[in-house]
Amino acid sequence: MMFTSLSFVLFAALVVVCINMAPGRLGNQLAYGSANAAFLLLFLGRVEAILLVGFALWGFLILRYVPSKWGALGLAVTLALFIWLKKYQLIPAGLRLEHLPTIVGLSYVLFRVLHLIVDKLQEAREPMSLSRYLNYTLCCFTLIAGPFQDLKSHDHSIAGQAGRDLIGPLSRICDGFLKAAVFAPVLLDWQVTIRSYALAKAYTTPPVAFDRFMINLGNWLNSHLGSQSAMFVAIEVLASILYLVFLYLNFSGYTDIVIGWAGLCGLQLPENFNYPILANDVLDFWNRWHMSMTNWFKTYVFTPTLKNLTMRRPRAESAFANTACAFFLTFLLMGLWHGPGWPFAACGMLLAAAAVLNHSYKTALRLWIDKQKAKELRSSWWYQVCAAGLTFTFLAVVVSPFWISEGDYFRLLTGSVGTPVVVLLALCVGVGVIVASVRRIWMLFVSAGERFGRLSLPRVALIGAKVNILFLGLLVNYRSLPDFVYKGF
Amino acid sequence: MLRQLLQVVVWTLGIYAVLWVATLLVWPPEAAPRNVDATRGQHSVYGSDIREVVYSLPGFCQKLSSRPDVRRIIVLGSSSAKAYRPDILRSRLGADEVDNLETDGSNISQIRQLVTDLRTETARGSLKSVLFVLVTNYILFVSNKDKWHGGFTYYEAEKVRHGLYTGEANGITPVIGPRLMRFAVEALRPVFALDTLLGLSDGIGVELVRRFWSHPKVDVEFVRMLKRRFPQAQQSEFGEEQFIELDRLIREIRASGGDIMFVEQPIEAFERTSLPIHSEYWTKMVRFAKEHDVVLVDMSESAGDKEFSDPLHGKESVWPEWTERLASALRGLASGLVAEENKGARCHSEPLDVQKAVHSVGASARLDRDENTRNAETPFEGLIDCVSGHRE
Repeated sequence: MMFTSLSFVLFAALVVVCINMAPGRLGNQLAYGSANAAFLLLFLGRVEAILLVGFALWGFLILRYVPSKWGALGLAVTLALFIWLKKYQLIPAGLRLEHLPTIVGLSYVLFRVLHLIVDKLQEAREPMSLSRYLNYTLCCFTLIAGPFQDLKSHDHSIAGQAGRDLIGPLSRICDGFLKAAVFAPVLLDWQVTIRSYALAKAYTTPPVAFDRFMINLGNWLNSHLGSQSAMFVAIEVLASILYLVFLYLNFSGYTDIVIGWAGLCGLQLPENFNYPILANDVLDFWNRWHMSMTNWFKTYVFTPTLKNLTMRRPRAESAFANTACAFFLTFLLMGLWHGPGWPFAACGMLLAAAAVLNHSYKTALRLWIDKQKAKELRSSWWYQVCAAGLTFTFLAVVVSPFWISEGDYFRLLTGSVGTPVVVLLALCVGVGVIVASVRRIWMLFVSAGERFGRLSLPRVALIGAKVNILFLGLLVNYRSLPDFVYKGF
Repeated sequence: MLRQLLQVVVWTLGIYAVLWVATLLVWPPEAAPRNVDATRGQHSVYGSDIREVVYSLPGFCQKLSSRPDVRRIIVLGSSSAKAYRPDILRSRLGADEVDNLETDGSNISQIRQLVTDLRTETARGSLKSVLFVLVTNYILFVSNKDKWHGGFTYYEAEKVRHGLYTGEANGITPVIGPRLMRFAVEALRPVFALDTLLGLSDGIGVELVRRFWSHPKVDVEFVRMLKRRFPQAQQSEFGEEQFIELDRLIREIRASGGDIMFVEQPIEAFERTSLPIHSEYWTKMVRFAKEHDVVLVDMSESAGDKEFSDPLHGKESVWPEWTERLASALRGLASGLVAEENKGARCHSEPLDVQKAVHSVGASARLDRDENTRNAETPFEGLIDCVSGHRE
C-alpha cells in the first residue's frame, strides 16, 4: 500500500472514523492500537512487521528491566542491533543479514526508542505500560518517516479530544497529495529527462518542449565545456537540483498528508518543513528541512557533545575546535542514519565541513560588520543569488547518494574537483538566479493568496478547488506514482 | 464534521460541474455525429486524432452492435490515411456510413489492436456488413521493438493515459464495463481538456525553443531517431513480425464476418523508386495479398510530388482530390470496368493502374465476377462482392 494509493485513502478514512467514534479514553487508546497494528500489517510485509515490533519490544525490555546504571550498555546494544538489522557495510559480510528485507520505519522507531532510553538515563521516569509504549513507538501516523515527536507532546496531543475541525486537516491532506502525487512526479520526469536527453546521444521518443530545451543545453554544454567530466558534472548538478526539489515535494507532501490525517484524529504532529527554499546557508537549510530530525540530532548528539567537549576544554581558543568536532560527529551520524554505505558517510562529512565553514563565516561576519550592515547585505539581490546558488548547488551535489549509484557519486565528487572554477561558479550563479527568482514568484503567490484570503471565500471552496486540481492532475497523466523516498531510510 | 464533509463534497462537485460545462462551451460536441473521423480530434476536446479514435470507440462499438446491417466502410491506417475523407467516399461509393479510424504513427500491430477492440467490444455479427480499407505503406511494417521499444503502442498509451483502461503492453483492459465507459468518457471531459491544453502549451514551447535556441544537432538527432525506426535500419529480413500481425488482423476481420481490402497509399517518386526497401516491401506485400486473397489497390503512383507535404503525407488541400481518386478506383473495381474508369482519373505521372495490382493478386477471380458486380445495386455492394468474391 502506497501513501498515494486509493487503498491508503480508504484505510486512513476508516481510521479517522474509528478513532473519532471510539468512546472514552480507553476506547481511544484501543482504537489507536488497532490502527497501528492494522497499519503494520498492511504497509509492511509479515517478516518486516515482526522484526520491527521485535525491535520496539527490545527497546521496551531495556526501558523496563535494565537499571539506569546499565542504561548506557542497553543503549549501545540497541544501536548495535539497529546497525545489524540495517545491514551496515561495517558489519562483516558473514554476519550481515543480506536475505532480510529492508525494514521500513526502523530508523524512525530507533529515534523514539533512543529518546526514551536517553531520557530515562537523564531523569527518573515512571515506568510506562506496554500499550502506551507501543502506541508511541509504532504510531501509524509517524511510523514510516516521522515527523519525530517526543513522548511528552505525543501524550499531550493524544490525550486531547478527537478532531473537531475537518477543513484544516483536509486542506493539509489535499496539499500533501498535490505535492506528492501531482507535482513531484513531474519534477522526477524532468530530472530523468535531463540525464537521458542531455547526457545520452540517442533518444527514443519525439522530444517535447522541455526535452528539446535539455537537448539544446546538453549540446551547448558539450561544445563549450570541452571535457566530458565537466559536462557530466554540469548535467548531474542540474539533475540533482531537480531531484532536491522532487525530494522536497515528495517528503513535505507525505508530511502534509500524515499531519492532516493525524489532525482528523485529533492528534497534533510537529512541523517538518519551514520553506527550505528561503534558506541562504547550509545551517539555515537544516533548520528548515526535516526539522524534527534536525532537532533530534541537536538534542541528543550535537548539544551533549558540545557540552561535553566544552566542559573538558573550556578555554575560548578551543571553542571553534569543540564546535567543529560536534558538527562532524552530528553530521556523520546524520549521514549514516540515512544509509549504510560509504557515500552516506561521505555525505555527512561534507555537510559537516560546510556547516563548520558556514559557522565560521557567520562568526567572522559578526566581527567585520555591524548588525545593520549585515542585514542590508543579506537582503541584497546579488547576495541572495550567490548565497542561494552556493547553498543549493552544494547541497544538491552532496545529497545525491539519495538517488545515484556509488560509482556515479564518486565520479561526481572527483569530477567536481577537476571541473574549472569558472564552470562551477557559473553553475552556482545560474542556480542562485533560479532560486532567487522562484522566491520572488513565491512571494507574489503568497501576497496573492493573502489577498484571496481577504475575500472571505469559504474554506470549503478552496478544498473543493484543490480536490479538483488533484483529480485532474492525477488523471491527466495516470500512471504509477513514485514511492515515498524517505520510506527507504 | 459530517456537515463540513458534505459542504466539501458539494463544492468539489460544483466546481467540477462548472469545469465540465466550460469544456462544452469551448469544444462543443457535434450533435449526433454521423460517423467517426479521426481528424475531428484536432478540433475536439480530445485534441488529437488517436485520442478521438480511442474515446469515440465505446460509443462507436455500441452503434455497430445496435445497427449491424448498416453498409459501412472503415478506413484504417496510419496518419497518411487521414487523406481519405469519409463524406466523399460515402457519397461516391454509396455506403451508408464511412468512418476513418486512422491512428497516428501506426504499425500493423497498433492497427490490429484497434481491430481486436472493435471485434471484442461489439456484439457478434456487428461487423458483417463492414468493409475495412487498410491504407498501407512500408512504414507500417516497422517491428514492435523498433517502434515501441517493448512498451505501449500509441493506441495503448492513450487508452491507459487517463485511467479508464489498465494493464501491460498487449494486455490492456477497461476498468469499467462497456455500457458505463461512454458515460465515463463524457464525465472526464475536463481531464481531456486539460491534457489538450497541456499539449497546446507544449507545442508553443517547442516552437519557442526551436525559434530562439535552435541547435542543429537536435534535428539531426531527431532524424536519426526516426531513421532507427525505419525497416531498413533493422538489418534484418523485412518486417516478418508485422506480416504475421497482418495475417492475424485479416483472420480477425474475416472471423467477425467483415471484409478487408488493401489500398497502397500514394508516396513520393523518390521513395518509390530509389529506396531498395520499398521494392522489397512491395514484392512481399503483393505476394502476401495473393496468398491471403485480399484485393490490393495500388495508388502509390497516383499523386505528383508537389501534392506531398512530406514523402508520405499528402497536403491537406489535396485530400479531397486523393479521396476522389480512391473512390474512382474503387468504383472501377466494383463495376469491373477498371481500365475504362481509370482512364479519366487525373494522375500526375501515368494513368492510375488499379488493374495492375488487382491482376497481380489474381485478376482471374475478379474478372470471372465482372458480370455479377456490374449488376450490384451500388458501388459499395459491387465492392463487397468483388472483395469477398475474390477469396471464394
